[in-house]
Amino acid sequence: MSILFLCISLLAVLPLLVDQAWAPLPAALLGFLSFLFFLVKRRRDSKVSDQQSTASFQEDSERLLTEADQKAAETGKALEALTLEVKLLKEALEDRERALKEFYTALPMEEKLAATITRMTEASTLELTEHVYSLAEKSRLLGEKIRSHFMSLTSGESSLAEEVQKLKNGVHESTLVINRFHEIRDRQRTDMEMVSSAVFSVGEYIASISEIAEQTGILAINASIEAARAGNVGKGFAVIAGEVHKLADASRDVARSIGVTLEEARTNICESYEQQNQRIESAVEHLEEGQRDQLKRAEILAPHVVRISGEVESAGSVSEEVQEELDRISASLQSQDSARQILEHMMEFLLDIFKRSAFQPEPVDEPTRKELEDILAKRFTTRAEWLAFGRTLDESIKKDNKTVEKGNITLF
Amino acid sequence: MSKVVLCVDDSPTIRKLVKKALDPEGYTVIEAENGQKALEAAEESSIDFFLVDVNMPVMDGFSFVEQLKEKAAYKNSPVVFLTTESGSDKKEKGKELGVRGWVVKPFEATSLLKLVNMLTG
Repeated sequence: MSILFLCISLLAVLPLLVDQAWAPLPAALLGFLSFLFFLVKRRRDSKVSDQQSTASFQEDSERLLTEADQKAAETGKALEALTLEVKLLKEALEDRERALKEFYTALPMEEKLAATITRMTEASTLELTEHVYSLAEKSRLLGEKIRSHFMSLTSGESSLAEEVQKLKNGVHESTLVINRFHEIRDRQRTDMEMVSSAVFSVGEYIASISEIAEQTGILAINASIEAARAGNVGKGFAVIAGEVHKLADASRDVARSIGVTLEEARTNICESYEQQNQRIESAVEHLEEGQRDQLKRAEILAPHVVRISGEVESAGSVSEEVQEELDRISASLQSQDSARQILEHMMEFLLDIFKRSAFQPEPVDEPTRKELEDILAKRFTTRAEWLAFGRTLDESIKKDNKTVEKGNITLF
Repeated sequence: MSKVVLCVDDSPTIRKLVKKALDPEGYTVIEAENGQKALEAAEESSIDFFLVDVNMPVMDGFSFVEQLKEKAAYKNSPVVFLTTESGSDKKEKGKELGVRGWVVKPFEATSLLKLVNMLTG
């Protein structure tokens, strides 16, 4: 009976030890057994008080007692099995408690790494923001300079466009000058023809004068002959005839001189006209050559001016594109920052969960903590991880560390 | 005299991005990392425009706006929330508090500038 009570006691406290679905079953069994004992006891009591109990009742009682003994035996076996299971569960619980302690110990390590991540991400994002905006500002200033230079080429008093226009205006003015030279040349030609015509007319007059002088001379000779025939009476007439002859010779000489002089003048005028004409032709030729050159330059420059005008517009659109890109980068930086915040929130949540729990495991001993940190440290590949735990950098990492010798390249 | 914008956000990155977006356009951007610091900044300086995050430690954006609107000097000042939140209930709460706009992160500098120009003009 004492064994039975011991079993019953153990079954009674089992639900307090084990938090499992089957835990209430032993308690139920305990209730059932108590009820059986209660029945047996009542029957025994009734046997004492009532001497006239029937034999069948005794048999029933014996049978019930036998059954109770069997049940007790079965319960004993079940209890042994349960004890074994409780032992196994205890071991499992101890294992879980150890895991929980290790996890609890590892949590600050994770927190330290998470803090490293957030610190690095934040610093990196801020630095990147500074660089990107600095780059954008430089790009904007450069764009403005390019645009300003292009503008100076396409507009304003000393612009390329203005120079092209000046060239075109120069060509137009050259044409006017050339036309003016042509007009002068034509007028000179007309003048020359008039001079030639006048000289020719004067020549005819001179010829007539010469002929008159010739005839006058002949007439004077005839008069001298007739005067000689008249003797003394004709002496005075002979003198007059001689003077007339002299006058006729003088007239002929003057007429010849006028003719020679006019011919010389005409020749000089012709030569002068030819020279001037040659100068005008030469000047016109130079002007036309200059005009062609100016026209050629204007034709070469004009497309450049058009292209530069296009570049000015392109420079404006590039500035807009840079701003759009900047907006996209800004959005990416904000997303990166969001990721950092999410990590922070995750760690805060995890720590809060541990704080909420009534169960606060004792920290693991120092060797175990060190062992855990070593397990974590085996995974370290970056300088930041080593530094976060105040560890000396692994020699291989120290040698290859890019942050120590930024940009250094080693060739093998 | 440049207009003063107070950017209230616990993220230094967001504050810097806002500053970079508005500074070149002639705005003076003051920063505060939570609602409490923002109230202090509003006492120290005359603010023309408030750009406020909703979720912040110490004092969140809603509490900040509630207390800000109690001040006579800022009763009608323009306030815009700049947040990752986009729920209609939150927006409705902001509207009830008298905020003038709601910008969901990530924001575009150009759009933000247009908004600030419009509400401070």
